[in-house]
Amino acid sequence: MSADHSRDPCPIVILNDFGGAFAMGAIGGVIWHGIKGFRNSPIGERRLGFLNAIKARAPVLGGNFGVWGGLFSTFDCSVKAIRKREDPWNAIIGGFFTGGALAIRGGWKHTRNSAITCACLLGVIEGVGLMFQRYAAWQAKPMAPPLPEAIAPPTQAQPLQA
Amino acid sequence: MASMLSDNGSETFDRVTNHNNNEIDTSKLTNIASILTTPGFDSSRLHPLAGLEKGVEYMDLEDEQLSTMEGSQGLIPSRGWSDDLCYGTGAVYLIGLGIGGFSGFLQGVKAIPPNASGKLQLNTILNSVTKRGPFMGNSAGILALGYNIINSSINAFRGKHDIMGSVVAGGLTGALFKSSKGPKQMAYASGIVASVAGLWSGMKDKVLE
Amino acid sequence: MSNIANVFNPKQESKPIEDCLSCDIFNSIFLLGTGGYLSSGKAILKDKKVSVKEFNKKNPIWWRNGVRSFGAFLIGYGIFRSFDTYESWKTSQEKKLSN
Repeated sequence: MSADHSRDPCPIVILNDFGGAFAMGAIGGVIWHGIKGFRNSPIGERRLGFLNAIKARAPVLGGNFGVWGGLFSTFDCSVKAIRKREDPWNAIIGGFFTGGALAIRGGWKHTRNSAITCACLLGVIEGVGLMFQRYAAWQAKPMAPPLPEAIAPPTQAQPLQA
Repeated sequence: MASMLSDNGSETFDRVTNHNNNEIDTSKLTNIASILTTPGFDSSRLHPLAGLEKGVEYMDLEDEQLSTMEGSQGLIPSRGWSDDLCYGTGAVYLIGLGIGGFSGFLQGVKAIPPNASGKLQLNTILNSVTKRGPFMGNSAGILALGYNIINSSINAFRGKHDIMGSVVAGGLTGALFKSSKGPKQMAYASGIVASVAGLWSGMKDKVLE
Repeated sequence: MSNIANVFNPKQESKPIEDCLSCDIFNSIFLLGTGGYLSSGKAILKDKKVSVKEFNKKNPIWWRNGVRSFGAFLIGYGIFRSFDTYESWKTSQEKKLSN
């Protein structure tokens, strides 16, 4: 009855995730590097330092976030297509490969550590997500009408009231 | 819902009228607890139309609806400003990456030192592509991000979407993008981004018609 | 059966996802591309900044071979998946025609 509109089909969702991650990184970069540039410049040139830091760093940070998000989404999609299942393991395996792929230039130890760290991180995020889902389901549970006290063998049969 | 009615409409009718024939004997029921513990109790018998046998379905009326704002329908079904933002930014980044990569390729070809070895040639081109592509992609992504945020704000403020809103949003984005380069550059960037935004909106409307 | 117990304890079982042609196509391309990249040896390249000794220590032979063979495996699997995808595309076309 209710079609699942919450996720788009696979290849196109990568674009969405990429854009979302880019936006997150860029906006975060504006705030982070803006504050840093503002504080690190001498009093007279604070406005300039603020603007320059943002212009130089925020797009790059956005790009890095975007690459991470896009890569993760790509792996996630592929793992989904191979496993044909929808569960938290997709994200964890996807995170493992993302971490590994991004660190592959740094040697095998770096790759291994990065892959494991990334998988654990995704596992934690998925776990928190599941907890929230459970909490939301528990909160939104339909209210049953209050049961009469006599749920054990009714001592006195009372006529059903309409 | 409609199909369910037509499929077993007669059965529904029978169940509602002849409930004396069912296993639940209403005369023996005293309270809710005894209903729930009656042998053979089935929630689907309470009312067939309620569809209780299918399990509980949570309705997220707020979250999962497609955008209904006038004129906001895009090429990809959008659930609102966040979708526009993500898809717009992602797509424009990729376009910028492609254009930047291509221009980097051309630059690299031009910059090849005379009588260089094949490996050096490849390296020069690759360096140029990987330098130019992400730079253009990042800039384009920032532009799209700013444009989408401003555009969505304007749309939300006006309650509808049209080309005028896009053009104004594009102009503001361009001006903001070049805000540290002086008024002349700001005006140029503003004009370029506004016209691109107008062109894009007009094209989208043509395609959707 | 009443479903009230499921409401209190929502099950988080892994749900199978229905066939998705676009996902399969994408996945085949992805497997072939990633496999090609990894098996080409371009993934592990020596930087000018590190010495040969350090590079060999960072990237032991078994690791380099492992990455390459993983890439080869991905290519093989990608070819296998491409045939699968082609089959499911064909059935979807036939379904469209018969409708």
